[in-house]
Amino acid sequence: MNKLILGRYFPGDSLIHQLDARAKLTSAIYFIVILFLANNWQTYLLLAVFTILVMFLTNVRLRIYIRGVRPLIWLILFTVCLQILFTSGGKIYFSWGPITISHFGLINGFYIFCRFVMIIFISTVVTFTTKPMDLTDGINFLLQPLRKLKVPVDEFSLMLSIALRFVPTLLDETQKIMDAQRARGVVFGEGSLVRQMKTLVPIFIPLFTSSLNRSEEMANAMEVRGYQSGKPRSSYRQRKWQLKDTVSLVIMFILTFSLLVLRT
Amino acid sequence: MAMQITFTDVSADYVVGPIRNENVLHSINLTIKPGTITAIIGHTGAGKTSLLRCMNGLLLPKTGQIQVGKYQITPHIDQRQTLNKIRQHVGMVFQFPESQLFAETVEKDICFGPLNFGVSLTEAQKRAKQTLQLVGLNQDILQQSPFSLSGGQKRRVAIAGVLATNPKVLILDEPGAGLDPDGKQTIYTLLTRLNREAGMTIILVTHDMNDVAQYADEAIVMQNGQVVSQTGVRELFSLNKQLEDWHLDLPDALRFQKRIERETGVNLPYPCLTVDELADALIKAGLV
Amino acid sequence: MASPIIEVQDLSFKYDQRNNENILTDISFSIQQGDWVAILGNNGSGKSTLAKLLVGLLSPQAGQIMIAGNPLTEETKWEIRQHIALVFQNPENQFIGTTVEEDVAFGLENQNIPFSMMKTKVDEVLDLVGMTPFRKADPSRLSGGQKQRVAIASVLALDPDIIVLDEALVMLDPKSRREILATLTQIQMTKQTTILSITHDMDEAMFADQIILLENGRIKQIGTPTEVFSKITHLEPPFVEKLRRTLQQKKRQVPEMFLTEDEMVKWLCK
Repeated sequence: MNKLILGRYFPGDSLIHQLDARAKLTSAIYFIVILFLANNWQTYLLLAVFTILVMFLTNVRLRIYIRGVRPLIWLILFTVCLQILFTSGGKIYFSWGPITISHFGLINGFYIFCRFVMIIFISTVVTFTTKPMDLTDGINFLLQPLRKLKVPVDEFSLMLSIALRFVPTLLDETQKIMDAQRARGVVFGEGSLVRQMKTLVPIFIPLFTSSLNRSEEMANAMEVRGYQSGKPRSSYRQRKWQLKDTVSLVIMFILTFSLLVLRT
Repeated sequence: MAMQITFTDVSADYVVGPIRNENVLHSINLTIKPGTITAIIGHTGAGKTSLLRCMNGLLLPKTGQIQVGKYQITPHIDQRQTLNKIRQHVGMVFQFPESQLFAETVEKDICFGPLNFGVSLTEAQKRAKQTLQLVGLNQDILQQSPFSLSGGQKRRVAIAGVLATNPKVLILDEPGAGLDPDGKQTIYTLLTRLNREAGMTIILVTHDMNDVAQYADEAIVMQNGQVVSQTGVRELFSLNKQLEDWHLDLPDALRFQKRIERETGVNLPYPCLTVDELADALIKAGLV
Repeated sequence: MASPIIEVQDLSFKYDQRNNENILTDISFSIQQGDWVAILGNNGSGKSTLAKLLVGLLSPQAGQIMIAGNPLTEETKWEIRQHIALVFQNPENQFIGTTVEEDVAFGLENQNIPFSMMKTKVDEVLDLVGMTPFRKADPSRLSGGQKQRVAIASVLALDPDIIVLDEALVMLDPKSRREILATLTQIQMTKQTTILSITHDMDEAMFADQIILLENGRIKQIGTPTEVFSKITHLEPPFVEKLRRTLQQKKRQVPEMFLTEDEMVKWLCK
């Protein structure tokens, strides 16, 4: 449970924490786009410095960021290898049939590696510093244009927030049911795979039944409290767009401009 | 073989997934005598459920040790065998136990526990019949789905599922919660019978002081993860000042007795815990 | 007498059309504005079904429900739900917000009320139920009593004329139950809110102006607590009534009728 770093929130009060979810999401997506403008060492250095600065501002330890990269490391290395092996140009260090290790290949591989790591770092900055609920709000905001296409954006984000809200409840419930079955002599995580799968049945069936009951009761409660899907609703959660949010966007534009100047 | 449960300097943390509450129990020392009905009382978050979970090794102590009959639970116990033995002897009925039912038929659900503990199928089925009778349900529901039963029946099936493992000690977390008066009465009558006739040690958590007064022999009061009192029930309800400090209620009979004494100025001969006692005391005092 | 706030006429209901057995049969009663009514009955007597019918979560096969003078139908149910609110037994399953204040605001959001008005209302009802210190807390981490307070605040935010409590206090410990009862009584007095409490707690039923006793989906008895407890003897009675009956069994001269606690004390003092 503790191994899962991606998507977790680390409470704090840093400058980045204080930014509006919309500003953070927009900036992050924007950053990933302008990442593709970089094409020489100056531009990569600039972006790397920017990323490290932002990470530093979150007050979350570097070690935790690095742990977030770990699950994806094989994917990254695989892509980097492909880059190195199949790019030619410049001085050739090694060659065997279609496979060459060239100067350009090495540099490109290194750039790709940096690009991947920065994408992961910047996305984790957003999830580390934004409460899941605010993130849902932010996503809801960014998806608003889709409403024109009759996509039920508000319903979707309400669904997402209810799901998030039930995570601790279901965790508790799972623990209780596991305890109850353990008290009836079930031993978890022992024996053959088939045996272990079998011990899951007495957990999943009760969990499923109670979740169904819960969801029915929740639907009833929502209906009685006047929730009608598709009807306009106001929001109690106030999103406040502050000066710092505007500033963050301005910084993104300056960054783009610098990139355009520096790239070759 | 009677099983005594003894806690020596036990402390424990509560852990669910990534959530950890430090010291939900600390420096617990207590002894539960075999063959008694013990009620555990205290407010939400006082550590009652954690205490119960310790008794059959679902929650391991951080320090100290728990002696259950001849078995010992220590912080680093690594013998599933021992824990499994303990769980065979110490049956645990959780709050709303009906939510643990899962099998297609009532019979299969009741047999689940015994089979896990290595009892043969024929023996388990025999026990299913016996325990179903014990909890006062009809044999013809054996082949029904547990999900088709009423709330009260489901709870009794769940209790039967625990009784079928033949425990010497039965632990229950609020066995009457959410049931109507009839349903609750049935459960408590069953518990009293198990205690009187089979000599089963019964440990239960309840919020209702009337239940404590009427059914329990001993009471353990918990507050902020500690045991603040372990006494006989009659003695507990004579601790006027402490009861107030602990924000505990009085049983109806005693509460009403105090009111009568205050308003009539007549003192009744003894503290009354049940309606019967109060009626007798009123008669003795010449008030009726 | 003013016209009743709830009027139920010949209500019958069953879940399964193929089944002949009704969950509720020929239910008729009326309730006056500002009354506290207890609906008593064992599990399976159809109490909760009645609650669901009253708020339009289910539609009856026969009969009619009038709320504040308007018939309850598929068309009018959204309108009528502004008058009548329901608090469920398990508050855990009715929380939608991740903080207490957000949850209380949910019903207001549904009515598309602007933030400033919501804020005032949320502040007011949280104060009323004494949960202001917990406004930023995660509702699922509260104690049972606190959870139910939040659920009641959520309902109060909508200013309903009628609050239906569907065994809402059953799960609570006696102390929280008493405290919430006191809060509700105060709300009933000050706002003239009608309270319909579905329960099997007899001590709570003693509070009521009127008791409706259900048995197997039919009304067995309607009346004041005194009338109901004097007539129906197989019902688990409140404590004082138990005492009266015990004394009677012990061949003592006791009043023939049901007494409230105050009356019993007075009688003992004579």
